[in-house]
Amino acid sequence: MSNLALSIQALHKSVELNQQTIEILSNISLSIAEGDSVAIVGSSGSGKSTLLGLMAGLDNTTSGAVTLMGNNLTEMSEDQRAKVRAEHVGFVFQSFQLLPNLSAAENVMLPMEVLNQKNAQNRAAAMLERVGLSHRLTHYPNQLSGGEQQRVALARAFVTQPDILFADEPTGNLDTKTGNHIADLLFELNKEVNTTLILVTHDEHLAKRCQCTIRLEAGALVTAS
Amino acid sequence: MTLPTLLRLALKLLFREWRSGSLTVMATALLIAITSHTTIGFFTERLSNAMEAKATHLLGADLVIKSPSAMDSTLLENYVDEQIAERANSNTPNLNIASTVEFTTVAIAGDELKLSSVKAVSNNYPLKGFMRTSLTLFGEEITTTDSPPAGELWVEHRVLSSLNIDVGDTVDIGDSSLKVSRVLTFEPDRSGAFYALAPRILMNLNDLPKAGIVQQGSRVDYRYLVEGSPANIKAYRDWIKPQLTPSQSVLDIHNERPAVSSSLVRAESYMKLAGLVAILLAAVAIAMSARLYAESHYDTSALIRCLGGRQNDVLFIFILQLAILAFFSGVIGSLLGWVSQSFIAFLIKDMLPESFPQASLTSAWTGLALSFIVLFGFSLPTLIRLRQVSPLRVLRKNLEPNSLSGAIIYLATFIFISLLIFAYTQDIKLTTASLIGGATIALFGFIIVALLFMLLNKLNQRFPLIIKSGIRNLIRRKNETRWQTLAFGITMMAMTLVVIIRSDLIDTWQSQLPEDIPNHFVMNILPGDVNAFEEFLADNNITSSDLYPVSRGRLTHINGVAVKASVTKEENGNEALNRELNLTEAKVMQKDNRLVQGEWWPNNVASSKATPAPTSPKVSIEARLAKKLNINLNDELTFFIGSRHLKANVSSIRTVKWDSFKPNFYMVFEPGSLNSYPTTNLTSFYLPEQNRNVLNAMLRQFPAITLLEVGAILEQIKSILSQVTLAVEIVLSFVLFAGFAVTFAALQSTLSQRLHEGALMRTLGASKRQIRINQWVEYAMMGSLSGLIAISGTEVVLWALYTQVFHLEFNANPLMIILLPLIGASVIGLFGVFTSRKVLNESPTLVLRDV
Repeated sequence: MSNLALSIQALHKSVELNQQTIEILSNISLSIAEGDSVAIVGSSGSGKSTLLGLMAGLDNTTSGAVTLMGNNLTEMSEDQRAKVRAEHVGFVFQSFQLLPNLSAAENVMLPMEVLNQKNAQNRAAAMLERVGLSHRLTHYPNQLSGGEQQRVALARAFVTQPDILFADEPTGNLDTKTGNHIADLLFELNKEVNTTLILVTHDEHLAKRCQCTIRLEAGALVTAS
Repeated sequence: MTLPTLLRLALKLLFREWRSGSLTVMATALLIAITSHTTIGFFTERLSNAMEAKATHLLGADLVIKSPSAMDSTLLENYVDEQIAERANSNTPNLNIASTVEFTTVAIAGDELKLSSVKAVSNNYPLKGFMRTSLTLFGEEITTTDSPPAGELWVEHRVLSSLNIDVGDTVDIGDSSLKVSRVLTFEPDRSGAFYALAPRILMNLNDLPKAGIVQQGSRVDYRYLVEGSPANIKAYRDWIKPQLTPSQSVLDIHNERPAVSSSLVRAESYMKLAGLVAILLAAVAIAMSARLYAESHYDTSALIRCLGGRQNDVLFIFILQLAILAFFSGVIGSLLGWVSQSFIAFLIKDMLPESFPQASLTSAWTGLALSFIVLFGFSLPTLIRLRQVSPLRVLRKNLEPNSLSGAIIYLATFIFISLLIFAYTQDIKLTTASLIGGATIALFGFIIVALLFMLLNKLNQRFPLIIKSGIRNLIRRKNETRWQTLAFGITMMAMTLVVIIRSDLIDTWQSQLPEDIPNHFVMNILPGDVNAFEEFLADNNITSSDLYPVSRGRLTHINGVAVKASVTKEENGNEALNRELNLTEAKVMQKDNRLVQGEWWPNNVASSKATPAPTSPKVSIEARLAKKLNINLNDELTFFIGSRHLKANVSSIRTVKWDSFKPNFYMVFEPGSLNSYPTTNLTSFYLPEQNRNVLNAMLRQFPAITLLEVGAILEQIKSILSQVTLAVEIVLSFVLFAGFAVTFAALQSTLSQRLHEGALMRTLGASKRQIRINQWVEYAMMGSLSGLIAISGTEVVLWALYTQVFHLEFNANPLMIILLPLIGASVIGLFGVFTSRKVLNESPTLVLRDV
């Protein structure tokens, strides 16, 4: 039995809207072992992205506990959670989220700079070469196609060799062919680095490539397989 | 993250930001503020140094000590010696001292006598400035810094005509005979010129003992002229002042020549006011573009946080960016300020003295400091929000950071504005007044904007179809457009006010010094010569001011108490007490005088020439003198005229424009009061330079008169004023640029929203023409509404200034009521359509995908 990368206990999340309390997630408990790949699926509005945000410590729970790589996120301050993210977490987003004012290489260097790691430049170049963008180092995001931007994002996510990677609809903004390429690359890298992968998607094909699937419906866990 | 990493990241982001143009408005506004500040700073520093240099030329030195008796040499040479001893390694004395002795005596040539004002000067006189002399009567004038050598005299032309001699003849002064070698036409330090009735004779100080005139008890005026660097002069002044007796006094340029200094002070305060307006407008532009900048960086902030950056890392990156921006803007702005003031100096080099001193670096330092203060003061309150951006924004785009409480932002801005105004005006009352005024205008402006928008909404049904949809756009976006309208309105108001005040200021100067301002004063016109003199003027087509009868007299008692006893010790040295005053009488008050207290005597005896002497004469006294001597209405003043006393009651107190270059008087009596006292007459007139030979004839026909030429001083003042006018106009251009910066910043604030809407409209099939018409209608309408705001604000401020501060009649300006909305419509229309050109040019798909 390997160690737990993530465990969630009795998680609730609700928001106040027009003096009404709306329950977004209710009583969710799950645990994910290190090295696992897990897909979170569900229809729009089922609470997938909210769950992802809570698991990554981007948001506060209403009640319950989230433990990420042995750190109890619910007891931590914003800046402490940021430290955990810097040390353990990588992200890939649907809308790529590259900084428009940094070149491809500089975008990839960013997480290493946050961690004050050495050799950032060379490692970024190597990583970009790995994703097939060695000729695009100095290009800015608006000079890259969608698929290329997502490859830069993958390079950025994996360059620090994170323990756990959160991917939010990584192929959602891409056409099927490009999306497949990106998905292939994502799983290849995941294998190489041996990262725990948590993937939010409504694409069943993509979900099937993960070891297990968690299904959300109206904020509640329906099945975990 | 470590400091070098943050710095590198900040630099990288800043560089790209700069290239993409999103910092342009902010940086430009900052540059305008700093350039304006440093230009004004450098230039006024140089100007006031040059003016002081010029003024010292008029004084003949940097500092003059006046004493009724010879001063102890310990107060003069010893100080200089000590200074030299202290700085043994420098053997140049840091103060030069020249001395003059002035007294009145009779000059004799053959059988002719003339009471003259003799000035004996040391060899190094004058220390500053120059004299003008000629070798023959009314011959060519030569500028010189020499002084008469021993054995020689330089005399005013009146001496020659009254003694009936020529250059080369000998004149007896006391026991010595001296040769007249030159005609003196101008001497620098003749400040009391208007009152000096006896003509001037200049002699060498070394000839004085031989003459044997100056003895214990003689009425003699000793002056010690001191020259040195500003610091040394200041040190000397501070050292000597406490050691002077009440009858001794220190003169420097600040208590001489009020005409020049008051105009300069006004110009300087205008420039500072305009500079302040430019900086405040620039600050508004900075605040607006900083908000936009902050909003466009929520994503960056969220991503860095998501990748594990701390809140303070994010804030620090932006603070570093601001600091870099402030530093470069401060340095470049100061350089531009230096260049632009050099340019001003170059433009007007003909009017400047040959050595126009360079400015110190003070303004560059304050410019750099101001750059940081303005940028941080006006952008940090909004940029601090970047710290609050939730990292969750990477997943949910619509998450906005919790705004720092609006009250805090406004309070911070308010405090910064107050500090800026105070730093510039150094005047708490003025600062408070402008803050309250500004807040009131903003509040009422907002109410008016809201009402105008409601009205527009009501009326829109009646507008022609083609402009309807543009106006609908304006109203639909009213949350933003109302603020924009108010911002444009207040900006336009500030610009209009600065322009109007500038015109008023220049008009005042020009009316103060018209082309035909008197450049000659004539005194000592004997009562029997009055008619002949007036005829002479008429024959030569010379227009003169009124003739004033003048008696010379001394104020001796106030309410029966001897003046020397009744005034404070400091006032014992007052010029008005220590010399004879020109006393006059007049039926009507001079036009530019103004009554402060009491009433002018009724002018019922319209044209009868001989007014009977009143039994109890009344007198009107000048306000400043009255205050100094503590004289009030109905006080009884006693004057000593010739050998008799005259008692008069104070019936009014009035202010006098000393810088008007017209005859001015401390004391004006009721007509008839001086009937039984000896009077001569005084007048002034304008004579063009080329007609100067008329003066020769005048002096031959009326040898008794005293003629004073003030043309040189007038020319000097005119050249100063035209320099200052130009400088004022250049400063004004900064205000205009700052206003444009605000306009651009405000227009950019809604640009992304407009881009999106424009793209949608075009996708839905709207033609470019339709969108362009909508833009024109929307912006032009916004511009004309802000013109309305500007005109109402301007009129209210002007009304307050004219009626409450200047006590002048206020006239609304009907032309502006039409003009400002038109200007507003065209300027905002043009700028608006220009900034929104992207809406028409950018591909709709690109825009829609971006959002």
